[in-house]
Amino acid sequence: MALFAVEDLSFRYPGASRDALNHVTLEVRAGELMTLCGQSGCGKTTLLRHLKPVLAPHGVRSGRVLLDGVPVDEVPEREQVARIGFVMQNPDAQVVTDKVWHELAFGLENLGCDERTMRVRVAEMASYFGIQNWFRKDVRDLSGGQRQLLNLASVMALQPDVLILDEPTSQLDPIAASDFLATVRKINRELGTTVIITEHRLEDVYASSDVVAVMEEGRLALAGTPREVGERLRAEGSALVGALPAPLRICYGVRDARAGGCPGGGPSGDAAGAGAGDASVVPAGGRDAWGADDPAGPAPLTVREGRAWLAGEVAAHPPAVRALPDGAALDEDGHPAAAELEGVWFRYDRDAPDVLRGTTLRVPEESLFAVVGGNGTGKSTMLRVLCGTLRPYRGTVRVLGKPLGAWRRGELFRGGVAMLPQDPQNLMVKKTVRADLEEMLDDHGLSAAQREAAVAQAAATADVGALLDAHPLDLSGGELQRAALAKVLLCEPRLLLLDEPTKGLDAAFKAKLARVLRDLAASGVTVLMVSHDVEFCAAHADAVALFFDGGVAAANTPRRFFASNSFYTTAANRMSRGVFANAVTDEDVIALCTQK
Amino acid sequence: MSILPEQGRVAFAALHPAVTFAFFAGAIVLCMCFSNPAFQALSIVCAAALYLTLRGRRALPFIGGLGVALVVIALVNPLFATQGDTVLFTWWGGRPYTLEALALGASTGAMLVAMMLWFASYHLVMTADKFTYLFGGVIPALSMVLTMVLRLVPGYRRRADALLTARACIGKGPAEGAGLVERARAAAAALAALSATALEDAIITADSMRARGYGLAGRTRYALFRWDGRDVATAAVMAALLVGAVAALVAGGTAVTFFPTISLPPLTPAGVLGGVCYGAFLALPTAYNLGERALWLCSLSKI
Repeated sequence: MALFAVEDLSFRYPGASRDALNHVTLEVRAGELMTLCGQSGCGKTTLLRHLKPVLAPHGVRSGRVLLDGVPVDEVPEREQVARIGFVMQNPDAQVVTDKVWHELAFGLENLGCDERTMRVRVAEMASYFGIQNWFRKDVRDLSGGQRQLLNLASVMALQPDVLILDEPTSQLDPIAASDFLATVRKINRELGTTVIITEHRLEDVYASSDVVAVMEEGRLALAGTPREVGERLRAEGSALVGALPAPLRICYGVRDARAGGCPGGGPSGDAAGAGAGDASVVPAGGRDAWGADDPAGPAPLTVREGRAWLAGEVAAHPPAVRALPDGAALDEDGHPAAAELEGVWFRYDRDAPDVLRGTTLRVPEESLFAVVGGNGTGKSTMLRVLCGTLRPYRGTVRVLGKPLGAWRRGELFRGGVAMLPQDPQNLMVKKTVRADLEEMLDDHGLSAAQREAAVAQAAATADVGALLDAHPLDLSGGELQRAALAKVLLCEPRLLLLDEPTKGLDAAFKAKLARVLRDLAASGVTVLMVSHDVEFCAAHADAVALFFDGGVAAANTPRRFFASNSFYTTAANRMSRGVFANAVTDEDVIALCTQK
Repeated sequence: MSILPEQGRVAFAALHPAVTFAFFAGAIVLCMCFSNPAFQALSIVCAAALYLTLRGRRALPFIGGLGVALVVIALVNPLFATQGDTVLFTWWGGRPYTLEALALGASTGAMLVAMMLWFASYHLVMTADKFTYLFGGVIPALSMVLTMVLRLVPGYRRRADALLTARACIGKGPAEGAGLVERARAAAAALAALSATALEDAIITADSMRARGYGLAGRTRYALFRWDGRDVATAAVMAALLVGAVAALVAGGTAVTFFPTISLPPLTPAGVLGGVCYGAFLALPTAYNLGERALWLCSLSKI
């Protein structure tokens, strides 16, 4: 029996020209972990909100949602609150109270629990989620990851039957995101709580899902096991393939290449192709009807499965070459440096610990330089030191050939340095994107036509031409990131600093961003980015440095850098370690597998 | 909220919020009622001592500053008030500078300084969660609003910081810009953006509250604090001392008049008893903190 049944649900926002949900029919069985994916704006959030009536948006609706066979609107509110847990995107705004303990107890207080029950439940939750050490803390002293974990715990304190998570990790860094998702999986496995989650980082959650549902423009395009859905996406040549876990992508890449390089033309493509035209949803009970039985065996979902698959693959088709060339080492002194830090020490407060501890880094001109490393190692602080907004107490900083102190304040940001902060929202202060972009040209003494042209050019570079008249708050994460990038580009920087530019972006947006950054580097701009996104850095950077304990531990070209690491490296590298040498990206592994 | 270095080791702060709140209410109200210099001196000394036990050496600048304020208030008062019979000297074409006005200034200043000291300790000990815990039952909606405001204000400040920092990194920081008008305009834009985000966040918070059942009938409260024997004993002692002090006040042994000449109340047994009770009451938290520390050192030496 289905826990949730969505029956022919259509929905349209007031004043909208098309349906946000278009005849969606979907079943969620008790105990399942269901991942709902799709491009931004495909209606995922709208669908999720219909599962909890107090959060359902206003508009025209047809069809119904059943919870245990009862229309969910008719379930008493008290029962809804307790049975359906909902965690939203923004870790900060979801928190209601000022103390961790109060937040944990908040839902129980509302339901009118007696004191004994409340004490036990709160104690249980705090222990289960490892919150006991910050139980009495102020919420504002928590990190984003801790805050989102607190949101999850305070929803779980109500002991819901089903947990709905709407892009819960989009504002977290990858390390906090993996921790969070691991906790969600633990809840699903250990407590049997049904989980429905939307995510753009499919790497972590895809493999452990029981069911993956794909939405496209308000329709439910696909639903099935992860492998089935992967096959179907591959057969249709969907852009979502780019978001699948690396082992799956590599496997598909190899199979497509063997089948003659055209996606969907392989032996399995025919089987899946039969149903591709009508985009049918697999009927309940018949989820294994197609796709999974590839003649070459099931496709790998995790790195572990990927290694086994790759071993089989190599045995079946022994490759002549098993190593890629190292490539040139990082040329330390060839180019002049765009940014140079030498023995830089910095701390935020006289009594605070040092954040930068003798940092020395040299960023050559016209390169795309990536700095990776854990949280709180001082990466963002280093960027702010390069901007001149933080002043180190020891060491020298040179930017674009001049010591930082020799730059006049105004000059530095006009054709010199510009930084895109981690939260691009902070750059946008006007009512439209256009006004925000124009603000950058304020006292440049340009004519109206020149301003128009400059804005249009920056908008075109960052691909936000269509969004110029939108309010910055109405943009999605990826759109906002690009709009802020356009704004930063209007400084005409020769040194562009980016703080976590891929945070919250889905695969399609990432590809776009990579193109923009490459174009900038080609046109003579030096790009220095700080990122947790190992895959992105491996694929696109010219050089990568590992930041640790307030300094640079190692710097090299991406291939040499990641090939010599064994933990802090890409999934493709972890998967091919021992089989291939120096394979760092998906393309490397695919090329080595399918060499002639 | 609290900047206490080690809240756990400040024994008075660990008492039940009702007890600590009652103490501060009593100390502050009585401080406003007593204008007897001896009582005022008691209040200042005890308040300063408590603040010292709470903050250690870092309390000294604040206490020193208040001392200066006390002197300034006392000296300035006769410049404005000219009543009183004992003229010390005349200034500015014969304006009298009187001893009585000076004494009144000292008395007013002492009351002010004592209140400031009590409030400083109050803020350290009575954190927001204790306050909402105490008054949540009486005024539930208000305590909820208070809890949320307590979260929003620092949140707003943090957002403003992030916004200003981010904008400084593209050359639009508060220090940049051509003139005052430019800068004012930039600040206004930043404020508008902050308000817009705050509204967005408020919608999410409201959703989050409804999703977790806020507004259902029969709300209860999670009790973080529990009454134990110490709380009962302390409350009883406090009540007894308070009754003694108030009795002294009612008996009228404490009223002081400043004009036309200063007249202190006569020393009566009732007044002395009241003063002893008052002093004991005010010294209670300090004794508590010091006692706990001595106990700790003593038990430490046995290990």
